[in-house]
Amino acid sequence: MTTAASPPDGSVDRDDDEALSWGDADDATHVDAAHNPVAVKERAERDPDAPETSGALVGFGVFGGLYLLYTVAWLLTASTSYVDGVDTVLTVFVEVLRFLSIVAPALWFTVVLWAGRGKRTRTRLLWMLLGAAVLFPWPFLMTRSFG
Amino acid sequence: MTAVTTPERRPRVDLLGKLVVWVVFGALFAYMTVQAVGNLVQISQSVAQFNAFLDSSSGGDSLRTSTPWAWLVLDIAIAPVAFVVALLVTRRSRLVVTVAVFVVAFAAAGSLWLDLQLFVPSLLDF
Repeated sequence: MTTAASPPDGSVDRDDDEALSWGDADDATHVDAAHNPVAVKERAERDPDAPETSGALVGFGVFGGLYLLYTVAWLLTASTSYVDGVDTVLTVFVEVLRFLSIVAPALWFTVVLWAGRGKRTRTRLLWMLLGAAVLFPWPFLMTRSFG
Repeated sequence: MTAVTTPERRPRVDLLGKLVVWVVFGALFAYMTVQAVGNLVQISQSVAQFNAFLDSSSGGDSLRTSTPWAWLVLDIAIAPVAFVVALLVTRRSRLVVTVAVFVVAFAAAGSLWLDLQLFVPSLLDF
């Protein structure tokens, strides 16, 4: 078949669409990507039974101490009044949240260490950092500085 | 025979347990969201009434206040975000880990929610 892109003398009879294919699979020079897999660097899971590095222990220790301070701060604000004159369900709900706020730092610390055993140290420390931001005891500061 | 059937049944039990966890905590997070929406409505109405009162009286323009929309919207967003994060984190976890993560997510969302219950009213001077 001669197309507009073929040489004028018609000596080469080739379909333009051929340029869009990878060629015949039976051709000896054909290279199939399936036989040349790209090397993907897989990140190995951490062995849950492997001992922690000293850096990890220091990091967890720092966050453990910080979370302990958070617990004390939430405990000191336990008598803070959050809502007034509301129905029984909401009162119970707030009481439950008040209790959970006190134990939340300890819960967060324990769950990150326990559920993240197989995770890398950096991942667990980032979760600890997120917990430090989320669980910050603002009521402790507000009731003492601005309350 | 039991040893053969247990591994097959475990995922089904885990899935059933996870469904219960999703429903229970979904209801708790939904209640938290409903209360936050109630706060938004109540506070925005109070601010509007207060400003209307100032408009009807002579002077007092300097006392006009604005609704803290950003904090009220954040209050509403806390519970859904916590629920979705817990859901994503535990999508391939065992049942016991799922329960633990949802409890922590609810506790953390509760801490933030209580923060805002105390903070938002402090922004309003009436």
